[in-house]
Amino acid sequence: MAQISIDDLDEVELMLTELEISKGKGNLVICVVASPAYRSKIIQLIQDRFSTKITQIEDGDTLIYDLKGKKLEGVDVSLWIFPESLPNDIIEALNNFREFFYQAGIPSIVFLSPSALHQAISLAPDFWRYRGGFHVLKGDETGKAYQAVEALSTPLSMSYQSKEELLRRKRINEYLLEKIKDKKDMSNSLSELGSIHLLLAEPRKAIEYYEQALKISREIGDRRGEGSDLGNLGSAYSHLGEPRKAIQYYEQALKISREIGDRRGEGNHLGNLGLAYSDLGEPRKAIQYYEQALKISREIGDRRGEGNRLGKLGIAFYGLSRRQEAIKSMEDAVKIFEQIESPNLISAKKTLAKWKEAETPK
Amino acid sequence: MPRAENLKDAYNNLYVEPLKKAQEFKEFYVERPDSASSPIGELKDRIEISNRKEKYLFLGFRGSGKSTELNRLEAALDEDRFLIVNYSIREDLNMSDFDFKEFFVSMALKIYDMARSESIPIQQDIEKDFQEFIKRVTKVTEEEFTSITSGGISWSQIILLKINREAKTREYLRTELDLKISDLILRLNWLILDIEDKSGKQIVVIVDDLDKLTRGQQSEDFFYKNYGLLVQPDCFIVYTFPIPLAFHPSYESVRQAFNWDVVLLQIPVKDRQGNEDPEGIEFYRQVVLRRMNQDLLEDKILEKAIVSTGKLSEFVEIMRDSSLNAFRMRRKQIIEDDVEIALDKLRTMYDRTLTEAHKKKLLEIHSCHEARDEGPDSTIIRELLFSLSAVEYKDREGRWCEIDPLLMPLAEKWRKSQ
Repeated sequence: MAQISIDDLDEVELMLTELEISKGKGNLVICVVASPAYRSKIIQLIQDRFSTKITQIEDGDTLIYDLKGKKLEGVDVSLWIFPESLPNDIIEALNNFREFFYQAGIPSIVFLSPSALHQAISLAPDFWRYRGGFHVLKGDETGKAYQAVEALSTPLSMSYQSKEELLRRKRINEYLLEKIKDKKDMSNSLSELGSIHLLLAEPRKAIEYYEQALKISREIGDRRGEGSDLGNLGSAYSHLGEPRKAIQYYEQALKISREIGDRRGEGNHLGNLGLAYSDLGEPRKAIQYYEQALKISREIGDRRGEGNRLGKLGIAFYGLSRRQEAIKSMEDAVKIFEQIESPNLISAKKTLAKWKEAETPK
Repeated sequence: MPRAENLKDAYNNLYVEPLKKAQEFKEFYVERPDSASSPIGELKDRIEISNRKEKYLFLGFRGSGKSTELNRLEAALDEDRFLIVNYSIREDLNMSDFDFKEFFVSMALKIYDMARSESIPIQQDIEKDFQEFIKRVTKVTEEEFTSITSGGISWSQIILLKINREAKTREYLRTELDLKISDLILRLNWLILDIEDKSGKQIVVIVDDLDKLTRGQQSEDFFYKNYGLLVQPDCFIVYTFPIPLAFHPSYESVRQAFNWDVVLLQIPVKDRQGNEDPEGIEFYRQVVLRRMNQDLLEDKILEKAIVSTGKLSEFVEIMRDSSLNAFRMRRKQIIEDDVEIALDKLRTMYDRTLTEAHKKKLLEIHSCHEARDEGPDSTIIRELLFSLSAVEYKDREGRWCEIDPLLMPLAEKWRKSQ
């Protein structure tokens, strides 16, 4: 689950709706986001719903060449990542060739930084005029990141979410709780209320609901539900800044996923344990968990998980000054990110370059 | 594209590209009101009756419908009397590194290509001389030339591609033509003369998108320093011209070198006193109603969007955003809230983008309805016109300037902070 700011839920959903309704047609949608890390999260959300192609643009000629390129087969949305500040050749290419975004046959999202957007408005007015929607995201600059609910990555016809609807769903769940007779439904409803409160930055309230859900899951012997509730409790304590408590819950969740043979869940809980130990300042322990999680990712063919865990391992190694291992892990992560066109590629490459530069004798 | 009957189709129909095909004109073209009528009829008449090979400047704000009107001109001219070369400089030239020398080479090659595609035989010596001259100034060798012509692509297309893609070819061409530009124009005029003679028709060149030269300096160099050359080709030419440059003190000398300057202004939705203009509003209404069913719109919301934008492209953009907002809320109709949200979003964005100097100048325009830079070195007005934060309108009483109607609600706030 990607983490996006609660303030951006409406705007992100509007953008996803726009992509949905222009599917199979050219369109030029602008997404303004300040930090590359946050942009990666948004990309991940888009990738949960659409197949994508990501193109990183460094100069105007490449942009024109790529825009004029052949139609992409099996791709729903084309994602274009631009430098933080736009050089003249890119500005002019955007301004003069904006119609190619419409001729591509699939919608494009152009990711711009706020300053690049200002440049586009004043210096590339034709590009600005002939766009589809523009979506300015606030990001997680306040340091508060929230879990985006699954609804954001489910098909539009199934469900979607906005801040307003989140509050409505909260009221509905509260109302239904009084009516529901079925215990399993009750547990689900409580669990959803927990997630809503987590989204609303109320982790303590979230914990209350998750605990109630857990109690019911145990009563009715729903092991999978129990594991999920324990994992949710771990996340909520992690949000509260209590990694030790988070670890207790993740460990219980891990035990259950092993008992019921849920390999993906097992991998996730191991990865979360790694993160929690990293938060605790215990990188060696974090490494042990990341390695176990990595092994599972490889066994079940989860390439995204494999890449992410290699990246995390690299960072942990580097923190321990085990630089060669760090570089090796990050190189492996980069290879996978390249193969799966992961949005994490750019930041992984940058980190790797920085590490390698530090290794080069001056 | 048929008129939209649901919001999803409405969203997809509300992308405005210049109209080109007869079918598109039939479905979407809306006649401009009499008070700001299209100048194309008059331009056509001038071309048809003039004994001289006139040169025209065609001015208009971006998004005001210039390309559509120029396509109408092409369709309106009698094809038994005229050979039309209607092209956009964006197709072949490198807009980020653009010089009048490549411009004339491209015009010559476009005319040459037109003759080839119309099967008009060019006199052998003229053709050979032209080819050799172009090869020399672009440094295309005989071997390259032979391999190109045997490859199935016309040599003129390859030369344009080389000029567009290769900085070194542009550099070489500029050095070569530095003292030989009159040689190029001479050969261009030979071509024109021969083609007109063989076909018994007159050539009309329509150069679109010259107003898209984004860097102020680039377009100033092109038009202010070289306007003497732009009138030398011996055929009818319509040049699109960046309207912000018309607000420059040098414009008067440029204008006088041409036979006529045609202006396609935004259609006003209010007069200069602020009273609504029913003709203008109806024009904008029809633009959207040709693209979507009226049932998809709550009463009066079109009018709200029209008076809040007052510019064709921005109005369509707001309606497009509003249809997305409504679709997302699972509505069957666009309601006032959807339009308000779209307007607010765009307004907030502009408020953030404009500098204090821009805002001060906009307040001046709002109070005196005039837009002039204080001197040749001042660029604020041109920037505002370029970004369409300031707009020039025309009605029966003449022309006047006003700030983008979208920004009106912000004017009071700016005034207080001055």
